[in-house]
Amino acid sequence: MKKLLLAIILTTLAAPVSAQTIATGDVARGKDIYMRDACYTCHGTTGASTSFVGPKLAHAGLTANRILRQLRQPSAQMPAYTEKVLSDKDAADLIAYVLSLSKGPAPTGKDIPLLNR
Amino acid sequence: MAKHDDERMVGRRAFLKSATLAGAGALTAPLAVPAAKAQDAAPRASSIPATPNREAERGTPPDIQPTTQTSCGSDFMVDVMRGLGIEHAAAFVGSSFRGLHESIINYGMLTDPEIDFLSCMHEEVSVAMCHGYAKIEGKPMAAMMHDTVGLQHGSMAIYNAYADRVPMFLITPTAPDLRTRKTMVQFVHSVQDGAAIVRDFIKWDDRPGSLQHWAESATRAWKYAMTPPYGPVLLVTSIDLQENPMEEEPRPVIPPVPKISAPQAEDGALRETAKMLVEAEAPVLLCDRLARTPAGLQSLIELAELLQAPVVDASGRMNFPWRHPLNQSSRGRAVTAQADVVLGMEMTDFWGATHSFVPHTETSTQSILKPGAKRISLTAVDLNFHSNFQDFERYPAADLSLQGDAEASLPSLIAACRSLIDKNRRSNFDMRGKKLGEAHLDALADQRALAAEGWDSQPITTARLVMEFYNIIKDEDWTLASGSLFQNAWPQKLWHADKHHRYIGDAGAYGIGYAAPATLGAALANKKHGRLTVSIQGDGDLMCCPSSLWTAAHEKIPILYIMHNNRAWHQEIMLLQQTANRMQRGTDRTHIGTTIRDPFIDFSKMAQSMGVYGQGPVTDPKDLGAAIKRAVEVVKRGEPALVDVVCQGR
Repeated sequence: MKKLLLAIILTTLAAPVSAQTIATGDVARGKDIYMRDACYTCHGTTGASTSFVGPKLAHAGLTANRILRQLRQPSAQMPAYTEKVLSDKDAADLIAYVLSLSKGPAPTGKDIPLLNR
Repeated sequence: MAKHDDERMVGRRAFLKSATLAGAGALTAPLAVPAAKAQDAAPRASSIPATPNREAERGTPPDIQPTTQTSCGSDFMVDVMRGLGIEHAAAFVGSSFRGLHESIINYGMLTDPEIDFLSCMHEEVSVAMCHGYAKIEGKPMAAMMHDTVGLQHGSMAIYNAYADRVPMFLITPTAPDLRTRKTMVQFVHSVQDGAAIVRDFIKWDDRPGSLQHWAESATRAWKYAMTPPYGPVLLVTSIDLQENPMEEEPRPVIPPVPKISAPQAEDGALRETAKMLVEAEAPVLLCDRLARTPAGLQSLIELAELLQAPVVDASGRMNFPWRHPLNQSSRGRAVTAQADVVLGMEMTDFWGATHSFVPHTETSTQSILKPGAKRISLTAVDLNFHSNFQDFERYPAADLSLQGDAEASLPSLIAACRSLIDKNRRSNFDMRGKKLGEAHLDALADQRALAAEGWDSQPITTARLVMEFYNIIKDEDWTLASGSLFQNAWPQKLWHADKHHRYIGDAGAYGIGYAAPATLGAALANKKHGRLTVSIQGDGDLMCCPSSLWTAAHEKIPILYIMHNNRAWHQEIMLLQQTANRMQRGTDRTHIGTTIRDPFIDFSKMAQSMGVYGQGPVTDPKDLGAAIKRAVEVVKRGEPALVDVVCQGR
């Protein structure tokens, strides 16, 4: 019960960006932020992940709120991107870009000959 | 002052030579004289009369150097080394080993069996070449390092080899008598106990006082280097001993080279291990540096198939075929978490393989094993007692600890397991194996899907890099000589590999500057086997030892360097980001000191400047296959080549 309460509090604290703001996030600007803030170093420029350090973002079933929570109150070893270093507007644009990485069907690799040798 | 300035100021150890040069006609050539080549036919006679060394040692060194001599201790040392099967000696030139240098080039290289001198531009290169060479050839080559300064240059590469359990035969000179040091430079290059610089991370050292002593210590050193756990050994070799003529009597004797018997774990403990493995519901075989030789790989296949048990390979060596159905390395943690018995064989980090933790943070750690799961450790590293450098990692808290070389112990363990397996057990094992085979294929499909993400993106993904690369080399007899950690271990996840020389692991101590020269050493060993050696080369690593390229060209060593050019010390960006954000200062300045840009390095031109075929930078993945193919053709002609590929971080 305590854990549930804590989760609710954290979620509330960590979600100042409204769903509406996220919905209007600028994907192109979000990509610039993704590169500027070096998200790509762990997660890859296309969200494919680069190692065990940074999980895959593309086609990973992420939601805007989950990304926001991870930005503001990260689990594991991801650095915290608080409002002090990433404004709500920047966060919304960044989230829009990350969500855009999952457009289209998830690749299986079956159509890539080099991956099937 | 440059380290070679002492060359012009200090001559050979004149005082002894002038006293002993004589009688050269009476002095014999070195022992076990091999068949002389045509160039070696010059007479060695001299008319200068002999005086015993001992008298000269009590006197004052004269200033005048003798003009000729007909024998020298270093020729004898060459004979000792080639008797030990040493075929190559790599060195960055240093005046303190010029005796040995001269003997190798004018005697060792011109008589059979030939011992070759390899020209390097840094001791880290020459030592790391020994590292890669030994992992392919299964025996040491030699590196010579200038006294004090050269040894310190080489020390990081020695530590890498020590932590990677690799044999190498190292020589550093000494001038223990101050009367033989002619300049201030020789004093600052002298040290009371040279081996102390590296003694914490070598297996053994000695400072022989005579040629007989040198022969015995060289043989002992070789024996220790080649007894598991393998490791580097060092002979601190007096300059006088190298350069002085050999005394006629007593003639130094070269001991026979022993056949090495690796230490096997105790039989009773192996039988107990077999019982635990056979009776387990879910045994797991963990390994890291198990397969020293092809026999180790075959034994592990036999054990795994006998038990139908999963293998989780940390890839310190080519321990187990990458696409074997029982290879569960891609899902190692999940498999380990279900185990009731875990056997760790030559594990570097057995603790890490059985615990969850978040690196570089203070997050708590906990065992991932089920309650009651038994841990068995089998390693020869427990027989090597060094304490200062903590390469032994955290204590694994084993329930049963076997001290012995895993490869040497496996045949007895397999026999003990076989004797315990009846028909019912065989049937259960087969069912277990079938499930593991299916899980292996599922994991492969998952990895392929992961590799497909961003397939056409720029910078090129590491998955695309390694698969384009594999497509070109897969039908050759290849060796991937570089570690794959920074490429997300894609080769282990996606390539076929089932021969011991396909992969040789990584640096051991993760000291950067390993890959370029160590993979060159592997290529040197592979040259005589006609194999294609490939190295996925980090840009940061290459810039530590860029002169490896010159040595590759100069020595005509065929190797293909594929640059994983992420224009950064990528891991450090990630770690600095963590720290900066913990401080709430943002990440917009974390590129400072962690990236290799402003300007970018043109590795292709760098390679070309040193005589290596260079291509790139390749930025479009569609161009990659053709570029690699062209480079492979160059390598197959016997030359080194480099393809610069601008890639994702990892």
